[in-house]
Amino acid sequence: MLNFYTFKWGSKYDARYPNRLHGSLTKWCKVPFTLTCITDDATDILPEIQILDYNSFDLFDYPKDRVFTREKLCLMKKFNKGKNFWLDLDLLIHNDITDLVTRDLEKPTFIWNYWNWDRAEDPMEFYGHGQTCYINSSFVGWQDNNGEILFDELWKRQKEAFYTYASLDKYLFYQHWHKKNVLTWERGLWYNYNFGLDPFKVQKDKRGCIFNTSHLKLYDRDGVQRPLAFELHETRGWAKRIWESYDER
Amino acid sequence: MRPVDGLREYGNHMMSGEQPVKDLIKIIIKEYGFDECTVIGPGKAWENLIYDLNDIIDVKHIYDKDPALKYTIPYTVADAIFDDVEVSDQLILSLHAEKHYPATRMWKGYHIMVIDQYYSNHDPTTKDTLDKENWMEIEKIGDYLVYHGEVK
Repeated sequence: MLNFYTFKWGSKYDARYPNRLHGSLTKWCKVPFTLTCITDDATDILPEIQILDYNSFDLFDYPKDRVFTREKLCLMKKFNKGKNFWLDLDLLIHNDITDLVTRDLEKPTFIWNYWNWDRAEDPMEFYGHGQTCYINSSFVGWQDNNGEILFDELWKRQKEAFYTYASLDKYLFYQHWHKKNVLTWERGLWYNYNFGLDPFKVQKDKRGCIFNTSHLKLYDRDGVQRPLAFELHETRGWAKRIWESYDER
Repeated sequence: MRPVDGLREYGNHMMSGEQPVKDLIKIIIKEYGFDECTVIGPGKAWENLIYDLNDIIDVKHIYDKDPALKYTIPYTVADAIFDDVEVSDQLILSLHAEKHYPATRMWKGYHIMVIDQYYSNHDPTTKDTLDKENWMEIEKIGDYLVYHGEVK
C-alpha cells in the first residue's frame, strides 16, 4: 500500500484542493493507496481522505515563516515504513504516475527546478544569493526510513537552520543536495504552470504541473498588486478544466 | 545572460569598499599578530583576498559550501555552521557573514565578520542582528560593515 500525504492549513486553500487531489490520484495511480490530509480544518474534506490534526503535528517550536513547510520533514520521521509521498495541494497531476510511485527510492526524491535551471546561462553563478534554489518539494517520495536523515539533521542544527533559512526548499538545497542526501526526479516529468520557457501552456507529455506561487514578486495587475502568477483555482483554461474533472461527488 | 527570477539585481557590485575591506582585514591581522586563521564563506567574491592572506598568515582552513568554486588553492566544501569542522582558535574570518548564523555564537577566539549590505533583503544576519552583540568594533566601508572583536 502506498501512502500519500498533503498539508492544508490556514485559509489559502479550501477543501476542493485535497478532494480533487484525491480524485487525480484515483485516476492516475493504478495501485492501492491512502491519502492523508494533515489539516487544521477538515470541513468538507471527503471521508475517504484520512485526517490528521495539523496543530499537533509540527515537532519544531519556531515561527512558521522560518524553514517554511518543515512539517514535511516531520512526515519522514513519523512515517518510516514502506513507500510514502507528500504532495503539495496545488499539484495538478494529469498523467499516469504509477511507475513513479512503485519504483524503489534509494533516497528521498524531490523535483529539480528545471524551469529556472534551463533559463539560466550559468545556473550556479549566483549560488548562495537571492532566490537561487533548484530543489522543489511539491512531489516527494521516500522509502522506509531513508528520509529520517533530513529530519535528524534539521533537529540537530535547528537553532542555526531556523535562523538561516526561510524555506524548507532552500534548507534542503544548501544543506543536503551537495551532500547527496537527496535525489531528484528525472527531467521531463514536472513543469511549472507560472514559470519556464513557455508558461501557462499545457505540457501534455509530462505527469503534472506545480503552481508554486508562494514566493513571487508582485506586479501591478488591474490596479492591484498581485503576483504575475496564478493559483490553480484562478486558472481559466485547460488547468481549470482538468482540475474540475477530478471532482468525485 | 538571460535573467532568472529574483536574480536580476545581481551584477557588478564589487566596486565600492572591497579593497579597503581587504586592507582593514590585513591591518587587523598584523596589529594583533595572528599566526593562523580560518576563513568561512569567501565564495567567488573574496577569492583574491584568500590569495593575499596566504602571504601574511597561515590560512589553516577555508570552508565554503559552494562546490563549484575555481580556486587555485584547496578549499573544503563544507558549511562551517552546519558541518562538523575544525576552526582556528586564534582568528575566524567570516565573509558573506550576512548569509550565515553568526560564527561568534559558535566559537571563541577573535572574529572578523564582513557584512555586505548591498543584497541584504533576504539575508538572516543584518546590522540590527549584530548591533545587539555590541562588544565588537564596527567599521563601515562602502556597502560593507566589518565587525571585529574577541569572544572569550
